[in-house]
Amino acid sequence: MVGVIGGGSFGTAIANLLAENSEVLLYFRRKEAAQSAIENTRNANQDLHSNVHPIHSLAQLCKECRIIFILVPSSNFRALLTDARQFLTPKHILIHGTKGLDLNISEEELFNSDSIVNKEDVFTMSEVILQVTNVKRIGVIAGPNLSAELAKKQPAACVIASKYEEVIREGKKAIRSSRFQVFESNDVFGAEFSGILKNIVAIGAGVIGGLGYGENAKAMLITRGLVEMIRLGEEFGSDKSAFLGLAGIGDLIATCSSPLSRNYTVGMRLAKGESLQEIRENMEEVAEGVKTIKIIKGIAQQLGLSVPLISMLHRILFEGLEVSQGIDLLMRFDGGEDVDFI
Amino acid sequence: MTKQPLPFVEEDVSKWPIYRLSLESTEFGKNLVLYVMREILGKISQDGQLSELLSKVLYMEKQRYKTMPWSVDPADEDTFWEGVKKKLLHASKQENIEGEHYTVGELQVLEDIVSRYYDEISGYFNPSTFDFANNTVRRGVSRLLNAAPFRENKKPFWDRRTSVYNRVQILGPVQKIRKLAQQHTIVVVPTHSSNLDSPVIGWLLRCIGLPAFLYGAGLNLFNFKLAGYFMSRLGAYKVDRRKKNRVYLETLQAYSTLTIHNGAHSLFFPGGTRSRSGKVETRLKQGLLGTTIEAQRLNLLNEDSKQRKVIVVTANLNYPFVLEAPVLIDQFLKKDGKSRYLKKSEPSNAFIRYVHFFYRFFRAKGRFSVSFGEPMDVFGNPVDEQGRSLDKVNKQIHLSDYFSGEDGIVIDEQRDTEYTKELSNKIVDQFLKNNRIMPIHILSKALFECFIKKYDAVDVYECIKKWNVKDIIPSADFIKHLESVIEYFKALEEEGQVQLDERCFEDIQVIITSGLEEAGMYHLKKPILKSSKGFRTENMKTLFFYQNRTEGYN
Repeated sequence: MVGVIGGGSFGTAIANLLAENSEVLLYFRRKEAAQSAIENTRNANQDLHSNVHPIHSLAQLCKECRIIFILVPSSNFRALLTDARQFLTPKHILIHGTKGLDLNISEEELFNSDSIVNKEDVFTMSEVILQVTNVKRIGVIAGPNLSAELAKKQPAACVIASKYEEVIREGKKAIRSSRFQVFESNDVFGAEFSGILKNIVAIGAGVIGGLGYGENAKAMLITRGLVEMIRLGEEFGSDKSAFLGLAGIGDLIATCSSPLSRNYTVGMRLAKGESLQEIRENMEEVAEGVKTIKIIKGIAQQLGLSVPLISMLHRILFEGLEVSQGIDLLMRFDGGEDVDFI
Repeated sequence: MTKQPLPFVEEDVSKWPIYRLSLESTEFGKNLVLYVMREILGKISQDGQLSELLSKVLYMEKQRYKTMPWSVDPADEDTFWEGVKKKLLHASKQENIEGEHYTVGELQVLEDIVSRYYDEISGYFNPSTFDFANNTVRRGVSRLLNAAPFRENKKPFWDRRTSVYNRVQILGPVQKIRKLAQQHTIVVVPTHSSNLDSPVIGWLLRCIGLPAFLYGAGLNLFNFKLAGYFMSRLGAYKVDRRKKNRVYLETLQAYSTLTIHNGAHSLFFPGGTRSRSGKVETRLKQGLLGTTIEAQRLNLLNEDSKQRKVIVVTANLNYPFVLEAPVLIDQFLKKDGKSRYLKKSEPSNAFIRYVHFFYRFFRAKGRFSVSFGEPMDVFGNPVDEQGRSLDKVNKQIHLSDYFSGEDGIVIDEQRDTEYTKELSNKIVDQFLKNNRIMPIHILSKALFECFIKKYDAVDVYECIKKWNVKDIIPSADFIKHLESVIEYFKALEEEGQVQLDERCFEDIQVIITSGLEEAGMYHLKKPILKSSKGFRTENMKTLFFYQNRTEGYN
């Protein structure tokens, strides 16, 4: 039996994938959502595999499942683990697929505050798991895994990253199938960080798309965005190789090309003239990339790092810069060496 | 501060695990040999692999005893290894054992080698020798302490009234450690600055009333027959750093694992060697640390030992000065700086230095301290007095969960390697937290930084190049910078990141006086001196060594 926490589109898609190999308990925070999924055998616009069993009890999930996939937004991650902590033991294996950062202030405070975020107050999800629970065997699932395409049973691949070979082995055994390939990595931080940063570039790609620019501009954005990701990643202690695999460039290409991506959608709407506030008012969940831009910009500023793409997006999102002016600023930036990170 | 040793937590020596192990050493040895053989044979997956391993061991051993002989090496080295060579040649003509990838002959050779290593490594415990050593050291140290003030206070040499315990601060949860030692196995992991650390920590453990500990001592120390005689009867097991072959390393690790599993309290320096730079060690050797985790796993698998925890206790040995500082820092700078380090030759006479040191050490009024860390299990969780592991919300954790797969406890070396790294990180956290900064360290940091600024140097190498022994930092400049250094460490202390000697909270002149006294206690070339014009150093490298004790904090 394998557990999934996260009744959103990605959680549901992963649960269906896992169900091809074993029984799956899919946990919903809201009882009504679990009930509805049971009654309709459907959730998040996807039919549920017959092996997927929606539940509402963390106790039951943790008791029956040693391997648990966590696929919830970063803003809910710590609270969820705090609730689950009493049921989790060092016996468990937790594999998360959340591409965001944890911060000890609310999103409202973050977006409305001018004060700079300290690196010491920002945590990755694997760090949160270690801080809150007794679980040691932690992994990350990352890669180009757009849930809509997974739901259509299209072929895809991911990377499972963990310091523990056992976690990689068990995770792979749980999810690998004829249409879903699993690659391995020991670089947990690299896999997490590349997933986090690509959301920022995806917003940029949405802006490009929203302005009606074509493939040249998108390719430029993705490539230079990747360079910025690698430089930032190295500053934070990641190995550059993580950015060159599925969790980095793989996920980047998928997310920057898909209008279904929340981050891409934010960028498109900005390009169409909406403000961040307007977008937040009628988007069910703010894309992770928005919060990440705010956090990373602050830290980069503290460390004196040059992050032209992030700075431009920050000014558009939080400082009222017009999108066209932002692109203009970016194009005026001195080119320099193309590939200086290998 | 204790004025006399605490009573032993177990007065009946016959109940000490280390003594029981000595009595059962033959049986223990047989089990150990089987254990090591199982470990090695479990990884043999192809024909010829064992033969290749044994041939490599043979080659390395022959190189070792021919190029690096020690007087403590057994006389029959050549005979034994030539015998191994013949047996291996004979074994290579045999058929493999059915279903296995090795022959009977190869199996026998492996057993012979492991048995030989066990015989060399194993230590013993003799209660009479322990009593004798215990009383002799205690009396000897007291006499030496009295010898020094003899000239000042005119106390006779034979007067016993000056207590050595006035010179030592023992800090940390001593009562908890004593309680835990009654039911569980304690593994003490001290910081390592000096060759004196071994006798000092051994004496300190006696002070707090713990039973004798097993400890790894370099085999070379047994070259000195008298020292060897005592050490081998006081729980020392021999570690030969010349031997790097896999069979030896497996046997050594198995010795540590199984002795801890059998309840013998153990001691080893996780840094592996003395800190050359003077910094608190932050890179630990994983080999022996890993044996604590393996021992804990074995405990959980046996009904007899299931409830017995392996408890890790850090011990920061905080000295106001380190005898070997000039030699250690020289070695560090040579290795770290390479071509950037220009060494000036200095006279050296090791024997006279030790004699001089003992006299000055016991004559000086200085004190040193040990800070025992909060006891933890092998996963770094704090434990209560009963040995229960507690998580962040004080809920009990069951250690078997760390080793469990789907169906109970599972062997997984890679998993345990990661656990060892995490234990290592927890030990380093405690080392840094329990590091006791003394006036000499604060003064050294302040003075060194003043010189860096004076020379506009980018690093210590440039500082050494530009330094002249006559260069002085004016008092006003030095004191101003010293004040900021003190404030910085006070802030760290308040955050719980480090410990500060109580004198560091006194008036700045008291701090300076204390620091100068400590700096003047031993070294012939003083790291810090004061003159009418200001402050200077007679040895920039030693100054750097002492300031390094303040490194490692954000």
